[in-house]
Amino acid sequence: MLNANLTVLNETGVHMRPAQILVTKLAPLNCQVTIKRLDKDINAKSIMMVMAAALKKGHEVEVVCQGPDEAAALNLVTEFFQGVMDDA
Amino acid sequence: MRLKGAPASPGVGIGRVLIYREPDLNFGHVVYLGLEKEKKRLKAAIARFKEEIAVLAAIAEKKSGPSQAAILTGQVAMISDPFMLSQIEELLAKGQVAEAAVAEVAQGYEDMFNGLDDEKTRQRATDIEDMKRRLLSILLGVERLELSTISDGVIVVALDLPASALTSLPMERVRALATERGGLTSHGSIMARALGVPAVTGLVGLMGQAYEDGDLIVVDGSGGEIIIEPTAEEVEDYERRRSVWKADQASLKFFLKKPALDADGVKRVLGANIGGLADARQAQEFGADGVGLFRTEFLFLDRASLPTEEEQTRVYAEVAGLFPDQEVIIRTLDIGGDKRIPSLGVTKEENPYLGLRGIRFCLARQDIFKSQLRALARAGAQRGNIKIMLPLVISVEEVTLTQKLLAEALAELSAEGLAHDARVKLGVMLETPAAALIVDLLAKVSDFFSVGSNDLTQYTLVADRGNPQVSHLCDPFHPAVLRNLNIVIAEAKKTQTPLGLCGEIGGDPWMLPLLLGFGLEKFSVSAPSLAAVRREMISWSVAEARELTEEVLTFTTAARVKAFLKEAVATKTKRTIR
Repeated sequence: MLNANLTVLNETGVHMRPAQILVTKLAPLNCQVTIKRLDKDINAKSIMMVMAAALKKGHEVEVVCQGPDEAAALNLVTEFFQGVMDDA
Repeated sequence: MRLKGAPASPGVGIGRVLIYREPDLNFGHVVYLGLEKEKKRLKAAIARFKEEIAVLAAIAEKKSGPSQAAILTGQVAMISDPFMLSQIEELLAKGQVAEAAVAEVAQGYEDMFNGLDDEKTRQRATDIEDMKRRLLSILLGVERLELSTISDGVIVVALDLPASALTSLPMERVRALATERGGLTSHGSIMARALGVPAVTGLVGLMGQAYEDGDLIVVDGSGGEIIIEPTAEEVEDYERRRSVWKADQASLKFFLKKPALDADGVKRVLGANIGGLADARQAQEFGADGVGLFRTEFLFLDRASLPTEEEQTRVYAEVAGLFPDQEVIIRTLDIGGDKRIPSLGVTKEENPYLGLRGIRFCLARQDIFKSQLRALARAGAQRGNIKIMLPLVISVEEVTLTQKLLAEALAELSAEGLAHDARVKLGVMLETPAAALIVDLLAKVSDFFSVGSNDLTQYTLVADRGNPQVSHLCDPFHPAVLRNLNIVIAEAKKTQTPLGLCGEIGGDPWMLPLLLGFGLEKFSVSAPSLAAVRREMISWSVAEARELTEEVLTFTTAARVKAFLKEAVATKTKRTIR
């Protein structure tokens, strides 16, 4: 299991477009990815749950990855919350 | 017959009705075929769903660009959600038919999204509903009305227009839209505005009206109303407005995000009048210089209980955050007159416009008023850009009583350790003849003024603008109203109290030069009017406006004033006005 505390830096928050990018990139990875915020566990591979979390710039989250591809998944999520994929 | 709704996309459309009804998605008759077969049906339906969307998205991309296509491809991402699919399959295993499982799970997400604080995410509930309906119609084998084959010049009338219905709708053939539901931010309105199709939403009772496909109808997207069975005169009148509007379209686009300058190159402050978050976003999009009037009634209307201080704080702060470096003037609850709240148990009055409304209501219900003052002070904590404005003031005492209440609220907030703007500004609306006559006295207790021209007009002329028998008397070009505006603006300037005007006359091309001539420097109009006002503004220098104003003030009737202005403004701006 790998985990990290991250700050959401995505300029306009994580709405449909960014959420779509995140789940699409995570889908092929063999591991569970959970975003934790304020006692809530968000399944990062579920676009519904990611959108419903309405993450905004400045939010603090903990990310937990578990499974064979956990290292790749954590890298991906870390990069995602830096906001660099938003325009992809 | 006229129906009043919300102006969702400006312009005028005259055409034949096409009633759009969503297909019947009742699945009570569907029989369970066993887990494997239900799974197979679901899988086939999802595959078909993705094919349909791929085609629609390609059409949408070609017709209205990538953002519209993204709404549809977003639905593919949603329907592919592995977590949601596992929830649906769980229900299939419990013996539910695919339709029931899809409906139940999707409804759960719709409810979840609708309950969220974040408005942008809340709007996604519509997409989920749309996804659900498309999938259900595929599962049930129900035909959806093929909108791509509609004839030219129709006016689409619907309960609501979901995103996928809109994308298959060839907008270039649609003259206008009218819907019973939907607010300013629904996809339909956004798209209508983007494509310049006039639209009115929130038309209560629209679908219950007696008309059929092919009947003539008028949609006034600027005024927010439709006319069913229009008379020949009405059709002629609106044909003229439509041709003016069409000619205006191209030149207006230029002013969409420009600053408001007069012909001397002086920048005027042009804010927006808003009624909620959706308007605020639109105002920001159209480059408003902050908010000149935020009507807070929407927070209180259409609900069983009063909004909490927390809820109010959140909404006010969100609007203030959209204009971090500009002022956001928020009017305290203006209830009474034509706006009533049943839950407050307000008694029916014989003369509501002369009764318990505006600041009088606030001071009579200090529990409600204080919680609003606290919320406003708290919401201003971050940027200090929120200003509090009192409606319908007639006396200095009303202001000093409010000051006392505000001081109490601020002291409480300090004691409770809650962040707030301790120096929040308190201003007064000049919208009663009484206030107009004591501007100098009110200046001693006010941080700023704002002329409320709608009420000032109807109270000066003693004519109810909502009463069809006398509303024609409610004419802002009446010499008495013009004199009143002139005096109020001049008196306020003498006291050096910051002054703006937040009535819709600020957006009237004939009134604008007069207001500039009277010396007004700050305006506020509804967001869709911003570009038009900027375009008028740049035609006038102060010297020219003053000259015009001096002449107008010598006229004896409203008719003479208007005839003169029509000529003068048309010559000046080299365009046909109305």
